[in-house]
Amino acid sequence: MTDTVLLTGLGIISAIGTNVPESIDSFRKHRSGIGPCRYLGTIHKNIFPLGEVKLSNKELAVMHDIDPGLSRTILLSYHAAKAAFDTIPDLAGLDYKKGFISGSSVGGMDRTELFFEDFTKDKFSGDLHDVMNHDCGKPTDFVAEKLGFTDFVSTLSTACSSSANSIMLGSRLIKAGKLDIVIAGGVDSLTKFTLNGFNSLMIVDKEQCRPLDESRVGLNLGEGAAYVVLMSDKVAGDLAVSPYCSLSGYANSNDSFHQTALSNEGNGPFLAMEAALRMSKLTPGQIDYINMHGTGTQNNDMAEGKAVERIFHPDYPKLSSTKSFTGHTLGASGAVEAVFSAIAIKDGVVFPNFKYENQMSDLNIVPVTKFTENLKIENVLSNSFGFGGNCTSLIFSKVN
Amino acid sequence: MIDQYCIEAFAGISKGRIIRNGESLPDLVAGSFDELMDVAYASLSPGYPKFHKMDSLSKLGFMTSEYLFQNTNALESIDKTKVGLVISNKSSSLDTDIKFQNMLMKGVASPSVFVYTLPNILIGEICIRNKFKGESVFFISESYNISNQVNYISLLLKNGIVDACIGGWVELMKDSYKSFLYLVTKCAKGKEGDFKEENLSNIFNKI
Amino acid sequence: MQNLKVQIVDQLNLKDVKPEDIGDDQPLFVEGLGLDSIDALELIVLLQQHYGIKLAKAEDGPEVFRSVNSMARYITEHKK
Repeated sequence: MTDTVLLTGLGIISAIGTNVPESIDSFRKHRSGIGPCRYLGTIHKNIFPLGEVKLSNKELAVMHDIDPGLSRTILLSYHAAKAAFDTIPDLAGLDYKKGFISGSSVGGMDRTELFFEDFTKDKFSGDLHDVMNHDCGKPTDFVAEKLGFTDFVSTLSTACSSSANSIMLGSRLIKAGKLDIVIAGGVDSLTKFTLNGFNSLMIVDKEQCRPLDESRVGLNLGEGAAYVVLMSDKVAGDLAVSPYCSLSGYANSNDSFHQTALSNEGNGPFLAMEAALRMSKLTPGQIDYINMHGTGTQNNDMAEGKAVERIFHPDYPKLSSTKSFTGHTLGASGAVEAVFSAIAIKDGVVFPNFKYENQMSDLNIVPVTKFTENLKIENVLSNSFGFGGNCTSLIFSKVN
Repeated sequence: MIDQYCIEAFAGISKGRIIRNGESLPDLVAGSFDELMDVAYASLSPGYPKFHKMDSLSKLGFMTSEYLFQNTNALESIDKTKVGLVISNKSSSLDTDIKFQNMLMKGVASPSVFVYTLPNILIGEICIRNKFKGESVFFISESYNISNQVNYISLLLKNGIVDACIGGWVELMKDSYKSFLYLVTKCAKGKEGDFKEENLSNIFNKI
Repeated sequence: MQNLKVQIVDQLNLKDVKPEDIGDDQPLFVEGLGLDSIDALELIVLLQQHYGIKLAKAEDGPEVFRSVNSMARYITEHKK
């Protein structure tokens, strides 16, 4: 049994890069990945900018020698999970209990929606292969199988907090001694279903989103996958891997206000952040950077901002929303931002908002607007809040 | 003394009937799922019109929870920020996803349907109704993995992350549905803990 | 007006409400029928589906959907 869980490996793919160095470079060069739709065949093509991964399914499949007809969710998940996996030393002959935990909201829907259209017109048309991998759990099973991380395999689906919850679960299983090494994170790919759905809620911006800005009107949808490798300090020591940071605190709470909106005072976010701080035994003053959930919607940014003020007022740490670069990657966002948080600590950097001009009139918080290096970043708080009131906060800390 | 955990109450809905703590409620039997929900709502009279706007999966989970809490006062003394929910199913929100997709193909993106295209919204509905603010999570698996769920909830209780937890399985896909929710807390003094996989499995199989 | 009331009850799944019970000037939101933000969005869909009217700005919602009367007025002004 252990008390310390370390992040020893990272894997990521999103609109701003197909790996960690590319992603960080995008922040450094202030290059947002949100732009005109290239891959998704939607009627809203020329209306909503999206945070698309800049690789087609075919290109992703060729990179990994897998079937290009597979769901984009599987392709993205495998790409990021493999990158995380590759950071682990050879485990041949070692008897470690290995787990793979993945969160997703879309599953294989990207293929199913292609199938469905043909199928409803003619029950004999449509390729059945397209629907075989529809279930949320299919990408998880595929990737776990391929990586040989099958002692414990689990799929979570709690909307935008899914992959943050995966990381929480991974840590708990390691602390309980049930698993030794866990690859945890999540994935979501863009689908017409989600774009039309979010549009019907009128929370999507027709321009580049502006999280935490008074003039914000909504989010930009994105896609991606990210996974972190978790292990106890003992296992990390035995394998001689050096960690990015530790996962020192986490908590989940329910806002219990509305299916898709947060309470005005941000109660769920407040409870989650407060409990995560308590677990990590840190004071608000010890947090050096907050990676906000910061979707860019009127509701989220106000509620989250209020909750942040309730805890951190009057000394606010540096904070930003990286969704202004990647778009909102839904189920993957918790893990995508965990990767950024780990880099923030390891490299001593903070990430900016891409576009920010006007302070929110009801709040005091102001995000970072330039990529900043050579900082002492010891503790990072990362928020992920999902529909259904599911609020998760993770705290990452420097390891000496 | 190691803390013991007890199943305070349980409820289930399947095959046109409602079961509460082991007994089938005789007047609450109906043909279709929709009819059953109407009968149940009329019988319980929760005075909660938002119920009618929910999708089938959320109605199933919500109604099961209403029966779960009906005859137990185990939650009275528990802080609502320490009540958690751990639920799983197989089909996620697919039943509603299909509904949304069908409407979409006719050119209508319905926001009130889209809102329910996530399985954890049913957890949200239960929390909104009862003001629960503790930890919640939704798992997707091919079949109900009671062992994993017991381990997860035990961990939450043991570490004081929650003081009470609602666990279970809420599955619905077209005409096929089955729900099972139970409430577990620390046992009253002297009582032997019965929060075990075998016991839950027995109850689940009888629903 | 009666037709519009039927459409509203239908679109919003207001099971316990009879169209004829909705007053012409009765506030639809907060008090009155107690509708919420998702209902407001569904009313936007109603305008689009039944009357071909697109309400582009969500901010106009509260004024347009204040009551059945205000909705009927808006529809008459903008109907295609």
